Amino acid sequence: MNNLPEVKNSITLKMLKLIFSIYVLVASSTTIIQMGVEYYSAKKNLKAELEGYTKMFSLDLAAALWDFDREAIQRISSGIMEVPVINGVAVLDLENNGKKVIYSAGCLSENSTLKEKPNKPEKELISFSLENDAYEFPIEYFLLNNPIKVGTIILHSDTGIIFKRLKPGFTTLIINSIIKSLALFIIFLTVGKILLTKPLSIIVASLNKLDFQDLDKYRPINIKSDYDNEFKLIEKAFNSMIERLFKSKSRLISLQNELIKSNELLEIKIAERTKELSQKNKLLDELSKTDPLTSVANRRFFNEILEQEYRRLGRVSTHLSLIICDIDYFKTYNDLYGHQAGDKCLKAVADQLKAKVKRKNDCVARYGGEEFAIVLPDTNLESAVKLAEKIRKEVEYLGIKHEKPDNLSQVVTISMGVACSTIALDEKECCFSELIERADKSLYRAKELGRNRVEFAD
Amino acid sequence: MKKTIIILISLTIFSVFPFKFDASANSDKSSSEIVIVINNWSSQMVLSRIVGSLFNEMGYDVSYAKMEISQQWGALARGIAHVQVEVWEGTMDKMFNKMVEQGRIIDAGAYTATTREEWWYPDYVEEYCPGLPDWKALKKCYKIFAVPETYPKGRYLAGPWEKPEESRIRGLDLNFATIIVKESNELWIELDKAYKEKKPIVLFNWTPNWIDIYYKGKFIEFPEYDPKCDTDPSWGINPYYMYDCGNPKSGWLKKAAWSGINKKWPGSLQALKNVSLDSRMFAQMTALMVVDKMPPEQAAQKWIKDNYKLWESWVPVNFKKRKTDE
Repeated sequence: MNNLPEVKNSITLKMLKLIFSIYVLVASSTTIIQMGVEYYSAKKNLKAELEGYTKMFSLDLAAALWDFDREAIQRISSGIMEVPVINGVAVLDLENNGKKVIYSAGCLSENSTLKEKPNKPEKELISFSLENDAYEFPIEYFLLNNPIKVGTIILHSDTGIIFKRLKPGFTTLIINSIIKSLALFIIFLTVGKILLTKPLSIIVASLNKLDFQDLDKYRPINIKSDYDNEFKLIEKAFNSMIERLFKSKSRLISLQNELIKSNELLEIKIAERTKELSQKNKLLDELSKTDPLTSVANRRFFNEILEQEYRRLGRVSTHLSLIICDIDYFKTYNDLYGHQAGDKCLKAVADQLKAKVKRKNDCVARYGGEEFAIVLPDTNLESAVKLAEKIRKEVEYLGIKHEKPDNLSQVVTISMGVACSTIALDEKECCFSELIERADKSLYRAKELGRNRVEFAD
Repeated sequence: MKKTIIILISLTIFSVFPFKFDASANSDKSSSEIVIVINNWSSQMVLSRIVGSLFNEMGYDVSYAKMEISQQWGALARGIAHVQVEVWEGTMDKMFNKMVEQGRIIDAGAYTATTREEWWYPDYVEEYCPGLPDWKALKKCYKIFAVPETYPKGRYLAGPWEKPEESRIRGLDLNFATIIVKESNELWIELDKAYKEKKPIVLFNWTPNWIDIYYKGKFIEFPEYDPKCDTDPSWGINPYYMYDCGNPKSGWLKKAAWSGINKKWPGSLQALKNVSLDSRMFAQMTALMVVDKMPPEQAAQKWIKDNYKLWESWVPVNFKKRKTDE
């Protein structure tokens, strides 16, 4: 019982209360009924007892009444009054068909309930007497074996006397009931503990110890009982459940291990794929920014870089230069040497441009067809022109054969327009276009002035 | 003679049809018979029949109710019985006087005979016990009266009536034991037996009694009776006990009747009052039954026959006239 935590609405306690209450109710009822029966039996016996006393005295009393011997009547009646159960006596004479109280004592004395009523009929007096716990017995005198009613004796014995008599019996009865009730209570409590609380404690203790992490250490419930009962069934069911749980857990652990391994593999695969994807993205990004033929930035990326650098202008940097270059007579080259040679030419020129533009933030881009653009942040016009000239020469030095119509040079050459901007940020939009336009105009001017040269806008 | 025949017939009828007592019989009931109490001694039995015949003579029906002395007072008071022809002072004075005082019964007059009830012995006993009839002589010679049942105490033979004999023996410190006979006849049988053998005997006797005629003897003279003797222990020679005295001497012998007798049976009380006998007549009357062994009815018949004039004189005058008119 000590192992069982306190329960507010314990079934055992409820059963105990219910059964005990019903028992107490039934026991009290039966005790009261028994007491009632005892009381009425005692009352009946009392009447019989009084009748017995009357018979004991009746011969002498009858003789005294017969002889109208008042002294003897008084003497005998006084003797009757000595009987413990009698607390009132009245002797009535039936002389002349009347009813005359010739002796009365105790609670039937003249000062109490029984009084002589000369003008009242006999019946009335009798009923009046009987209502007051009085018992009336006729007194008969035997003359030649014939009974002659000579008087009446009324004996009074009140309820108190009956209770006084029944007191030991009633006390025993009540004590008996109390002992029985207490015995039942203790028996039920003990039996309840043995049959209900103890097995429940074992079950509850086992359940409290139950830890899924340590199922293998779990001890099965063991209710000590020689025969199958409800708790044994619970024990079997519970132990069976634990067994199943244990198996399930083992399987789960196995699955979990498999899962972990799978996860690890998956993670590796994901990492690989991610890396691959990243590389591909990077490639894709580069591809999206790069011209596939020349591997320099394409026109779209060129625009982004130029816009980005233009925004930095005035805030981070003070100068932004742009070089636009165009392969001279490139259409002719294609016509003469085919497109594949044209592509090779473009790639060679682009490679040369990349080789000469080394700063990290500088950007070489294919501006279109045979045009290239070089964005040069933090580069003033002078530096940009010098770089352009240097590039132009290097391209020429490549010596890529090209039979140009002007016959000035039989190698591939490039014309270049340079422009530089120092415009503040708030004027960027117009100046961004204007920078390209100015570089572009410088390029045209270089074309116009004979090609293979560098022109710049002031 | 004619009257005698009628009486005889009526007596015979009464003897053939024994008394049937009706418990409910009383003055209010329709019973028209005068009920005469019959006791258990001879003179009373015979005299009751004689008086019964007297009532018959007056034209009233008569029945007889045998009962104890103790029963008769209530019966007479309630009108269940109507006449008692012998009321002895020695044994019945208290109840008789009380009943008369309460008006329940009527004193119907005394006989000329006086009564005495006492311890009695035959004259020859005086030879064995000098000093008799003085009671003190009994203190010395009690052993001569002893019988095996009482030895060494002397035997006192008492009658079947309630008498304070044991109290008297104790009060007077007599070394006697009481033997009570069942019927009075046993007294006379014992007396006769002792008388013939001249053996000492002391027994209850009374007068008038037929014994007076056939056996000579005397009453023991105990200390003189006084009413206090029956009620006050300090009175008398023994200060601790009552009844240290003898019975009254020269007591009266009376007749008693139910208080309503004369109303129901006019003249009956007068007739009863008229009845008077002396001691000798009582003795003779009783002897007819005891000595001559006649049944009481026959003894009565014989007595009336022998004393017809006296008997007839008891009939009230009115009834004689009426009879004459008839």
